[in-house]
Amino acid sequence: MGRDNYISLITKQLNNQLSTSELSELNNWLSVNSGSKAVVSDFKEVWDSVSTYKSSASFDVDAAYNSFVKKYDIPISTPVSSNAQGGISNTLRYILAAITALLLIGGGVYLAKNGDTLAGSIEHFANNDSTSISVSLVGGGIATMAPQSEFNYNYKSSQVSDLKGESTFSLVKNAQKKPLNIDFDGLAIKANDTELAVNSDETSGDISTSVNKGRVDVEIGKTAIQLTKGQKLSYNSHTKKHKIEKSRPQILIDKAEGILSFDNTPIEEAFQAIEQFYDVNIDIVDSKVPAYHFTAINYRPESLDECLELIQNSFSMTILRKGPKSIVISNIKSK
Amino acid sequence: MKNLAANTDEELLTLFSEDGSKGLELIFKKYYEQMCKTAIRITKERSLAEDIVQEVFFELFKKRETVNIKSLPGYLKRSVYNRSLNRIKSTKDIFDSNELNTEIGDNSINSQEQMEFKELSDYLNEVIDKLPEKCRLVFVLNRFEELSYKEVAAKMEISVKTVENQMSKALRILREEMLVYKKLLEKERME
Repeated sequence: MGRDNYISLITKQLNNQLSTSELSELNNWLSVNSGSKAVVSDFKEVWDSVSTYKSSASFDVDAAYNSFVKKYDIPISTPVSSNAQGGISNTLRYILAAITALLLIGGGVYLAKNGDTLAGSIEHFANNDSTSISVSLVGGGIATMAPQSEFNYNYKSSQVSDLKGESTFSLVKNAQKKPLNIDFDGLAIKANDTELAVNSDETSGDISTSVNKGRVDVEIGKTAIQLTKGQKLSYNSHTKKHKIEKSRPQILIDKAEGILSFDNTPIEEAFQAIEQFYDVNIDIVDSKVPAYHFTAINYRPESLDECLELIQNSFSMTILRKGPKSIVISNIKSK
Repeated sequence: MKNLAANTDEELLTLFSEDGSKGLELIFKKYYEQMCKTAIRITKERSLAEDIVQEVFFELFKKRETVNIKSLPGYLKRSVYNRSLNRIKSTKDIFDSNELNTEIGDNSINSQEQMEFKELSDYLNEVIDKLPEKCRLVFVLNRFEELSYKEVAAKMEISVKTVENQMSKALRILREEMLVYKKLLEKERME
């Protein structure tokens, strides 16, 4: 198979178009070709670097609408807000009621997309759905909100507050060099040109942040900490204690979406992820597990057997099924 | 409060069917920017993109009594894709052209001084604009509009194999440009 064909496979892998057999083929190539990982890494960098293509353009939607109604002679509607009380659905009525209540309670926190007030332009985002949703941030960044998560976002100061649940922030280096600030009681996170996941549990006071890409500055009281890729900081707002440990960004397990993703993952950790994904027990009986790494990005295995076969296509090993929930792996070697 | 999970599209469509101009205003204000960004990625021209998106909204308004929409963003995006591609087809003979744009390497960087101030992503975004048109469109529809190879093939009336080839070509060119950029940047730093 020629180099061009592998480029085609890498391209397909980047946008999740690989078939299982193609994924095996790519992994075989990655495991035997020493320079291949650098090639894959280059392509990933290109793929990520272009994510802001034409996304920085901004539009004055109100002005555009006014010129649109004039150009096409559209009858002008009565203001939406006053009409909503009469004709629009309950949800919008609740939204308007919530806005009114917040205006009264907050005394000046004006929830308008482009509004400038003393408090800036704050918007509340909540994901009550069962799948993740994305929110665009100032400067081309994206927040991916996990189900049952929420936060307030200040467009003006680029600040996230009152975050509950888990959100991942992918931030590009914006021209203004303005970092995203994620603030909690006793903990402040500053991030720019990076990717980080932030999780907060209000009841327990547990807050954690894992850096998937780049660096992140954290301040706990007067202590300044810089986290780098692969590090996870855990903090408890009740005890005010924190610890830093290695995060595992090389694995993504999304049972709801059926995705099991490995990115240059140590093989032992890959098996641990499979254990978790399929709720099985996998024992590796080799006295020393070789330092092999396994890559299968956005992989959607159809079964446990298929998943094991995929790894077996990349590395030589003996797989023994001892029951529906018990697997023993031995003799792991390079092919 | 903005609750993104609320099913507002259905409500907007109900309002649109009951009172076209009121519903249209809400739909326009919700989706105008998103649709313009989609159109710009395809056409590369801001004013053309805005014209196309406004045409799409006007078409929607004209069809308000007969149109049956299941997914509002899906409907709008499809309309924007089709109009943008048709507009490009009418002005450029891109769909039969296979030639590689050899100017990329020559024109992309004017001087090392300029490069110093360029971010890699900005630079690569410029490279995308200079890709051969068919290659660029395939890349844009797949990478940014998240259409599958099959969907890109159908939209552009080309084969899936051609989509695969054009995607590989786009990424190969972008990688080559990135490596050149990094080498020059490194050289700059050494000096």
